[in-house]
Amino acid sequence: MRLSRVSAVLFVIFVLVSWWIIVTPITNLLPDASNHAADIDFLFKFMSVAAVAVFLIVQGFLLTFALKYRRRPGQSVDTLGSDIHGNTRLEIIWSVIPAIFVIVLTVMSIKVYNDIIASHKGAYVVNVTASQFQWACEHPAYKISESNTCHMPANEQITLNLRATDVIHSFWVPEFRIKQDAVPGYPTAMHFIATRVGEYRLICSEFCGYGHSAMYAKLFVMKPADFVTWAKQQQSQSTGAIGAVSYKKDVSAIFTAHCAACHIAGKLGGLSLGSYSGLVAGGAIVPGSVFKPGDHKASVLWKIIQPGTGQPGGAQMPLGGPYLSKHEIDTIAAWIDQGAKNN
Amino acid sequence: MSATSPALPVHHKAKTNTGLSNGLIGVMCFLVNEMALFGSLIFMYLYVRRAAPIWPPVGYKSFDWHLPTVNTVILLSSGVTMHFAFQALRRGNMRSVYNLLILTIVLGVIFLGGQVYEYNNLINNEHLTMAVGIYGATFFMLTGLHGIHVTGGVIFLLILLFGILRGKYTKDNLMIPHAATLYWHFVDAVWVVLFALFYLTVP
Amino acid sequence: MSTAAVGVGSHHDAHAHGGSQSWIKRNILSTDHKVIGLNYMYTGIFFFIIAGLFAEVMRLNLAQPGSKVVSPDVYNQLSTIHGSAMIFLFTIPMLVGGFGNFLMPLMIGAGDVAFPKLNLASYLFFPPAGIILFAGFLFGGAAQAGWTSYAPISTQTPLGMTHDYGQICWLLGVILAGVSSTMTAINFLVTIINMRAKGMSFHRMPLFIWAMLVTVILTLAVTPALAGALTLQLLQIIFGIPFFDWRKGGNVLLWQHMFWFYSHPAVYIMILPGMGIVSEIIPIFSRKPIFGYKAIAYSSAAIGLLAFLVWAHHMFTSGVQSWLEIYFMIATMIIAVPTGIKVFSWVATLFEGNVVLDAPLLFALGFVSTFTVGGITGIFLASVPVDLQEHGSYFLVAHLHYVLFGGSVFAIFAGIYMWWPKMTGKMLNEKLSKLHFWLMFISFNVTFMPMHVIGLLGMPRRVADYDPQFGSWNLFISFAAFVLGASFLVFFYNAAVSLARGQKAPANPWGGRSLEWTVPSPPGHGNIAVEPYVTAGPYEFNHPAAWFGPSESKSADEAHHA
Repeated sequence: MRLSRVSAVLFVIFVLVSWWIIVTPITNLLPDASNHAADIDFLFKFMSVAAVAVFLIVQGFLLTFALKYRRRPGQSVDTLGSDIHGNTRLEIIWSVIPAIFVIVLTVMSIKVYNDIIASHKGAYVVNVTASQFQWACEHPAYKISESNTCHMPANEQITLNLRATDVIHSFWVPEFRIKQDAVPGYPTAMHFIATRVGEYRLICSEFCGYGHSAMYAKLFVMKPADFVTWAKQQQSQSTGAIGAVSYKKDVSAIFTAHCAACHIAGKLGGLSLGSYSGLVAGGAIVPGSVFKPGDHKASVLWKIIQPGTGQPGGAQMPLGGPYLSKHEIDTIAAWIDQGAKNN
Repeated sequence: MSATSPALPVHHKAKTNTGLSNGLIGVMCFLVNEMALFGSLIFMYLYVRRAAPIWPPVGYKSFDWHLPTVNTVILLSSGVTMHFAFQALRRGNMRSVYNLLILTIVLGVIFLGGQVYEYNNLINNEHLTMAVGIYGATFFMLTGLHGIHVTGGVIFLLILLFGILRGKYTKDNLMIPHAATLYWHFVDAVWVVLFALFYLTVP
Repeated sequence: MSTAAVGVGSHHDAHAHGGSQSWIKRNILSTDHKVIGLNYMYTGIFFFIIAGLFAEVMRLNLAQPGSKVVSPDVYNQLSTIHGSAMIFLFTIPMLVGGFGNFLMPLMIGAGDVAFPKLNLASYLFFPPAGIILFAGFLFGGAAQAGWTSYAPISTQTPLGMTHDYGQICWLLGVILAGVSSTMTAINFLVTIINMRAKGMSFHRMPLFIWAMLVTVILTLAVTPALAGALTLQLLQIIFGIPFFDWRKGGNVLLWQHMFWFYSHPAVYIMILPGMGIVSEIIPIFSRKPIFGYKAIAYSSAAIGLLAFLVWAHHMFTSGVQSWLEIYFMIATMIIAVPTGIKVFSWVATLFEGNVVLDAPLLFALGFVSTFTVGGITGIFLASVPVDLQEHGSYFLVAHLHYVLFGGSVFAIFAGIYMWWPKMTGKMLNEKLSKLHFWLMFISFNVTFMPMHVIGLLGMPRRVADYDPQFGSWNLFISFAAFVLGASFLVFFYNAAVSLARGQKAPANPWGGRSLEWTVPSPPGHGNIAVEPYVTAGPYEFNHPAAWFGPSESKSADEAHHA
């Protein structure tokens, strides 16, 4: 009698602790930011409560039996237990109840899943291209594209068309509660409404090699009006030409921001980007000046920062990303085309 | 524990649970394993074919079925002769055994010759190889694996023939002949499936 | 004991006179299934230690965000080889090659396996498989595409490398391991079908044998799919044949289908023998029959059947057609039923027993608890919508380790503690055994339980570095992982002391009823002293007379059934 009271108290404590461990972080720390999040969360919570209950029943009986029927001091090992071989009624019950339980779960899951895969006409389309190790987003409606950031309007049906250029990646924003692989040669898509304005981490959740852990982008969900403003601004920027570029003011700032760890503090591969003479000297892998004044396409410096090309000392720089933005790359190209002066 | 007591030699054949010899069941297990290997590669072919927008892919034409049809008839007849060779061995009719077994081997070699001719034609005249695309890759992978199995089967039958000539396999020692027969039938059956997949079902 | 060395089934009598042969012939090139089984175990434990140390290095790297203990490519190599070695070089060889070889012929009353030389050959494939799998490190870097080796990351030359030797080594090593386990499977299947002692019908087989039967059928039927997939990848890497190259009409998802068609059943290949071990331990240490013998046996068969039908539940985020995903979700959910039957039956076996809480039972009950957690999180992942959130996150890492560590490794150690006296003839120190259990059980849960949470919070798996918000969680996990690693030192110390000066083990230290307990510890050549005629199941504790006896009891049994 006393044992059962103690175990009942333990039971309640355990339920509360488990509930806290499993559910609190999700509800509190990870906001739900898509229209599917609430459904998936409900499914998850429903399953987690049921799971904790099943686990406690199994554990409760296991501990109770193991302790209650344990061999007492002085009792012989040769003492035998009851000669029970089974109990058909009990076995049918514990086969049927889990079966009903999983049927319920399956029906609930199918209902939510059908919502997730439904595509909608007139959705705002973003073409997402994943490559080692960066995300590029193209907005066909505005004919603009962005690298390592992704903007989208809130409260609007969105369709993401996912492509991969090299290996499999996976588009995951934990706050959205859904993810989808981007598979080379096999187009995939995601359909959702982003419901909460804010900045999120877009994570690659399919192992993709050297820079996998660094492959993430900033994803911005904006108020629809703000989004339109942003898109128009991008449109004008992308058409606007880059003016006169200064080495000391513009180019060396890009080096300091993105390349310092390897090529200023250290001289990885023999290359120092800390000074103009370092650029002219070049590195050990590709000797000679890293630029050819007036021709950015023939310059090692420009080639090596191009997405996906893997030129010429190996992979795209900065190794493992995040990579230079389109604007930064264009700035360097313009500087080379203007004569690559030490100005 | 007396270490001097000798272990009793026991002949499993006499005391197995099923009455069949271990060797024969082992061969059957091996053939199940082989079936799974061909099955997985046939799955590969069907999966790739289903995923492709059209089949054969653009730039390829379907295989000519005339020679393979003749080859199919040859290989299937070799299955018939193998069956009767084994039956003859069981009855102890050694003259028929030699004739039928040699005929089986000859038919197997003719089949292989037909395959070599077919490969030669495809590679040199149609420029179809494994490396250029999935169409050639799947075709050569599956028919090539089958060809290796037929070659192995012919070698197996030759060993069997010499064993019979030396009096090693008689109607009282049928395990290896039985295994060879099963294996040869298996190779036949796989070919029928491959023939259907590559020649009969492609438009 | 004068009859002990008389073997009924030994057909390699030459080996009975061990003294006249060289050490290598007796201990490495022996065709005795017990020697081969122990060799599998030594080799498996060796790879377990190395792969475990790899895991500790990974945890060291993950202890702090931004740490540079190893570079990302080395981290990827460590994680790839850790997973591959634990699965292909430890769990499968340990359970099937190790326990299966040592126990199966003894339990069914056979003198040896059906083909002893094939058995030796399959063992001799195993150490080279391991060496080749690790050999990539000698060529500048081992495989780094993950143990799943998804195309096209696996067919791509790794960043900063000029060759694919690491991946080629991985492929060759796994192919060899597959050949080895296929040979073992053929051997075991024939042995179980054909060489059981007289009177041992299928319903009188120990449940470990039932589990082993389903395991080897699975191995036989699915290993070729892996061999096929590995060969295709090898051909693509070496000769450029475009099976998985989407640019030339190949298909990236094809690899995943072929790989998981093997690797999902492989999970059951790794867990069913463990379930068999637990099904042996619980009745013996409860001193009463197993609850629901047939239900447990048939649920093994049901799990084996379902194993073929659920592979694509590993691919819910891959872009498989939605109707297929729904089918695979339903099929996967059904597995909960036979698994539940097993768990409930084990718990019910304890009811009204005389429960002896020694180390083997502690590990077996630890298995039941942790495996239940792994099974339950498996239901979460079976639901496609929930999987869309949890796939590829640390939740999956936690689930996997609850199944394969909390399941298989706990079962392996339960089996080691159970049959150590039978295998070595020496007893282990019970206090140290219990210390090992509690250290391992607690540190295991402390290590892997928090991984569920960080996964849900958005930490992806297979990362060498992570968002600083997970810093304190990972530090905590790393500390627990070091304790978990250290807990095995207790076992190794215990084992060494036992081998050196352990108490001599009797033939039947735990009071078991299956045939392996009727022979001396360790068993001599030829195994069974008297040709048994089995007249009852192995769990008839309350009817010792109606158990088994020499051949004379045959007539009594026939009269009974007449």
